[in-house]
Amino acid sequence: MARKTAKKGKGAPANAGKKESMLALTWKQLIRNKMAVAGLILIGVMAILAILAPVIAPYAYDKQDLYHTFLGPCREHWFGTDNLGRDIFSRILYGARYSLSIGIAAVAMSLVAGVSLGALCGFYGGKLDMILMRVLDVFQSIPGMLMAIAVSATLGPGLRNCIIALSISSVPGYARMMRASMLNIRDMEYVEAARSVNARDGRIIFRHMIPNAMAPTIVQATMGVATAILVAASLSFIGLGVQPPAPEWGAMLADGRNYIRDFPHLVMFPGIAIMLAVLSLNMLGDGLRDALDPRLKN
Amino acid sequence: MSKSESKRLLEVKDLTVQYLTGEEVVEAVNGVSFTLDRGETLGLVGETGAGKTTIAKSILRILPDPPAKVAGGEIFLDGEDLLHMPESKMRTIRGKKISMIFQDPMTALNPIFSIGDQIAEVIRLHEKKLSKKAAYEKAVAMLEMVGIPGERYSDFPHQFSGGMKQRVIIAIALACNPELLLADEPTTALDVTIQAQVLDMMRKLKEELGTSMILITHDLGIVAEVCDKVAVVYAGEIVESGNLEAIYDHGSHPYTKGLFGSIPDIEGEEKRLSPINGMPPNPADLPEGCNFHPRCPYATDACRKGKIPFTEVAAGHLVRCVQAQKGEF
Amino acid sequence: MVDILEVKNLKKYFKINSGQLHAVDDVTFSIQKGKTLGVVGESGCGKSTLGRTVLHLLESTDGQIFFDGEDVTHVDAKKLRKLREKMQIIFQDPFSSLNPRMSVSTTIAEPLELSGRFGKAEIGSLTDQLMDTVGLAPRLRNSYPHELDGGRRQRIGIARALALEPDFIVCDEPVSALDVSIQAQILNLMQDLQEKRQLTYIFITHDLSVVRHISDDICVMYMGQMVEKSPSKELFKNPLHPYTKALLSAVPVPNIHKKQERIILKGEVTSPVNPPPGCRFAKRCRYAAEGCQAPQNLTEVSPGHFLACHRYQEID
Repeated sequence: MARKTAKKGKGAPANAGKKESMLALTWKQLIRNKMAVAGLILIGVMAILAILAPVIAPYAYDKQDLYHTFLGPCREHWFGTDNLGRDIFSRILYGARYSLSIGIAAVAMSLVAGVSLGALCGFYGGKLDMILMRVLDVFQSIPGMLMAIAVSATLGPGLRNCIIALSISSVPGYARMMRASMLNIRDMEYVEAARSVNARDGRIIFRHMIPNAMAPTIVQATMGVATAILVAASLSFIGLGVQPPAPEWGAMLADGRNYIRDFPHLVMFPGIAIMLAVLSLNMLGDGLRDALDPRLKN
Repeated sequence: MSKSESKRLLEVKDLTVQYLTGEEVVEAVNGVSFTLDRGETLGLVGETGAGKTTIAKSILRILPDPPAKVAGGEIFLDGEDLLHMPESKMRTIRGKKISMIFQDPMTALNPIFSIGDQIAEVIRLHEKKLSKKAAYEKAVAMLEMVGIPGERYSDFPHQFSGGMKQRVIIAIALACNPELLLADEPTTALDVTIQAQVLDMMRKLKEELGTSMILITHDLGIVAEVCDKVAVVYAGEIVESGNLEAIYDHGSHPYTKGLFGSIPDIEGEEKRLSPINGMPPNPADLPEGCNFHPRCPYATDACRKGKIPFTEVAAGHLVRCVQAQKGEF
Repeated sequence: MVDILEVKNLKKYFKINSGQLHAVDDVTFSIQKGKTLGVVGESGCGKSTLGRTVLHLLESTDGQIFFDGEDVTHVDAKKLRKLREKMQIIFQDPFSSLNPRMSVSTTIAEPLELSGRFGKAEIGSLTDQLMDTVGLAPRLRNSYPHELDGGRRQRIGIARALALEPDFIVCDEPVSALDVSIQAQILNLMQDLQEKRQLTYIFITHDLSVVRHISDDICVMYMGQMVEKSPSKELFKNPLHPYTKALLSAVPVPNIHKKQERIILKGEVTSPVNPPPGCRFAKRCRYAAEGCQAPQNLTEVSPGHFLACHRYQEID
């Protein structure tokens, strides 16, 4: 026991120093890629706007003004107002909080579950792998959207349940990807080398294998955030996601669809917001894929 | 003049190839010149990254462009300028007049076609008038020439061992009876006993068909066995060239000597090897003067300045070294 | 002299779809402390599997392994950890044997850390010493493997293997991936280390000139079996097994005045999956006769020279 803690104490600082410079390398590679930088800036700006929404937003997101409904973009209301006279610009800003946090939280949850399951399956193989992978196959055989609908219908609508629904449906994808990279890395000589100097399974998995197996999964996750935002929007659109008056972008689309002929700006602005978020995350993901490839780091 | 022209097959003059990667220019090949007569075999010897493969690929004009760029020099095959030839004409030369064998026999064959079909395809690509049946017959003949029974025409690559696959690749390379064969480490991936078979076969074929060959290798033993003359390549330059005797018995460049000193002698009694100190230079940052001077035990100030020219120390034996200039060997 | 390692009738079979793959079949040898046993053979002959089985990186199927006089064939986890501090391995490929995300010093320090015997400061100074021992400049401490060339990477692998001061090292083709000039540097380093530290090596390679240079004894493997074992000089002067003869004759010699008679092997290679008893080389052997279908026992034909061929007196 004492030995174990001693080991941790020694390992941690060296580990921290090393991780940073590896990150720095990746970062250097990433900022060389113009598309990735553009994506990063765009998503960064959206995140800042979401955080600062209460400061920036000219109106409260749920403040109704029934005298000024369906206003087009004007000086007082940059993006116009909706059917209840709420300021669309303010709602988009607040909506970023919902949409982005749904996307990130859902991906984070499914990433943790998927990576651990995949790493276990890939490392140990055998019966454990067989059983876990068959279970995940069952999950994967249900289309993601259908799964999310079923889960949120069961758990009931709302932000938290929406996140759970989204994350469950994407666990198998991450698990499979992780398992495949782990299987590749399991045969590398450095894993054997670690074993020959008495490293235990846990150390081999966490220190030697997962960091080297993560790259494709990280890229997938970046793009997964975009997918999650889209699915969350669809869930809200059919009324199973975040509930009104919360200004989730998908919910705004759903609300605005009745007026699309006469007042297209009701759906246009949330649509553009979704599109920009998805686009910037995809650009970032593409850049990350290149930056994380150790072969390109010379 | 006309007599020597008909004898000479290939002439490479001052070939310079650069790789442009991001900010830096990597000088992969610097002013390489050599000639090759009909029926002759030249060994290009050197270490990883010396530029041997780049030389071969620029003769065939299959360098990836970008990042690679032929920055200067001329290559003549039968008096025809290869570097300034239109791509359409070059296509008729590749495979027909010049063909290349790559190092890895495992990945050079398409796994979903039978080996016979792969040979026949190459034949028909270059002899369009040939009927299917004639191409088939020729492919069978090629297989038998490299020592594979013709009945195995319809077998697939996975049914062959590494040595057999390399024979198939050689059969494909020789299918159109090329005048020049570029062999890039053709036996490096093979076991010694299999390597012996393949080298034996290549030597016999060379005698039968009179093909000229450039053999790229790092193994001085193979060169001794197969080649007529040798060019030692270091950091993109030929540092010494000559016939076998010149290099093996009177090798003069410190790098050539170092290479021989690094090989454990299978018959000798020496207890310790005498390796070359240091590492090959970074091709993006070559040293001033002789590329080898930082590792050379005999380096003097004269080695650190300017380009070192060739000195002909004996007929046909060229050495790029200051010592040789002074006649100190 | 004491035998530091003794291996008796070691077998390692792999279960595959079509049956049992006999990767190592009934191999027996011993090594004295401070000596080098070269293991030569072509790809797939089981030489790497042999090295890994001796180190317990692979579970042996049958047979016995003695280390320092103690039977270590079957050991529990605790014993194994102790054993591994005494037995180490240097890998072939300096590109895949190092974790690309660990710096030079972290890689070398890992065995020290894992042993739990040293404090942090001690690990730091030991790492520096090790880097010095194998000829790595101190400025490379925080470099990553991809920034270094093959020779330097192989030096990291050697330093990692030396970290816990083992007595015995399995060297699995440690110079095959390197250029000749670098190869010579590494071979010299390994010889110096052996002298200074009284190391015992099993040197696995397919390169016959390298193995002759570094080994005291050589054993030749073919398809999982040991066909000949002899002191190194004796083997090259007087090879007796037809396979050894063919192998030696096939090596291209960098000497233009010595044209040797080459034995070109013909015939099919016997599959190591469920092989029939008897000599596995018989199908390619030009001296093959009836008795070759029977198992060939390793017999001592002259002091220290062992051979698994019953016809050696008739051939030649």
